[in-house]
Amino acid sequence: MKRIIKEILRRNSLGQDVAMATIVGARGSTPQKTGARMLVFEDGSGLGTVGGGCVEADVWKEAAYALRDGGNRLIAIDLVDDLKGEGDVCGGTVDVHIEVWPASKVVDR
Amino acid sequence: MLRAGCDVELLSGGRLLVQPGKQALGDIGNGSLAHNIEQEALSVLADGKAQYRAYGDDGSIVSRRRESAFEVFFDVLLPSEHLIIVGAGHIAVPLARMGKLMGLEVTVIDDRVDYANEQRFPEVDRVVSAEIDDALSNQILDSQTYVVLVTRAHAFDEQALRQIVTKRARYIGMIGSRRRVLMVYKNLIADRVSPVYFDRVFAPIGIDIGSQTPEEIAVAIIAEIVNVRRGGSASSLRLAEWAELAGVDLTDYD
Repeated sequence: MKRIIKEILRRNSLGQDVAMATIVGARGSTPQKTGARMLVFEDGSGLGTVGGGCVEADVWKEAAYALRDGGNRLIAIDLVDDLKGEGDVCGGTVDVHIEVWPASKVVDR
Repeated sequence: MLRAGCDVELLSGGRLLVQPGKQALGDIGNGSLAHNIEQEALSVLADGKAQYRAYGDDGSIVSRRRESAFEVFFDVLLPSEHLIIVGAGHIAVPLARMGKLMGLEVTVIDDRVDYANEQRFPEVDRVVSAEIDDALSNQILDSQTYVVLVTRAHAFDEQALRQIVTKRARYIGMIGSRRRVLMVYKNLIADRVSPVYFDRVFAPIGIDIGSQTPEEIAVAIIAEIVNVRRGGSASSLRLAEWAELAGVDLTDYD
């Protein structure tokens, strides 16, 4: 967490907005547990993980929207079972909170 | 406060930092709901695990999001966990690096300045070159602390163990063969250290992966620490039956 906060402050001080994704709930089989965090930056890079391929593509996309409109959001991501659907193998559901830390107001929240 | 409905006196997106016995910092809104959330934050903190909760209008917990009037995520920020490596020899070098990789704060202690120096351990948080007992007595040993005793001589390991075995560290591991470990326990008992503490000690240190080289031993040690930290089920090499072997009846010490 220390690393995450430091990086938010550092990016903010460079004038960059940062999106922070936090897993706030996880049900079933999921790759990361509640409290896992990932930062997504305006240049498309990131720090930390909320669970690799299973989750991150969706979070990444949503974080990009959040960086554009500045709004926080809470999204649920289904990790569809291989047998029933396509793609992800985990099978659980994660709730992810995405929050924008804008460069203009760092501490005043 | 992830989301607050419009008819509650709460602040959507608000944050509150809560510590026991201290004034909370931040703002999530007013009224009894906000007060209750602050109280719940304290109980989540005592529990030590991050929690998501959804509430109805009246502040009762509901199980479905769509029935909720507001949602709160309680995050738990604990002080960083600390790995103290006593002995700066061949095992300490890879172990210190792995400790950093695992996100631990790492301190290395040795009385030999040729070994305990920042050139040898560029990545760690602190290198202490001092008499081992002095250096250890300056460390805080609590539920966030993992201690690894890997000095150059069993006598130093034994001395360090005697000093810390009664402390409330999360993990204490000591290197040595089963025979040697048993001898250390016997020596400590002869020195009137209560053996009730030995059940907390991981000695011989590490999980059972057949390690031979210092690097492999470091893997076994760091894996044992992860096993303790995350509540895994890997089998440790520790001498579990020390009491029988040393002829100690633990009920004598209750």
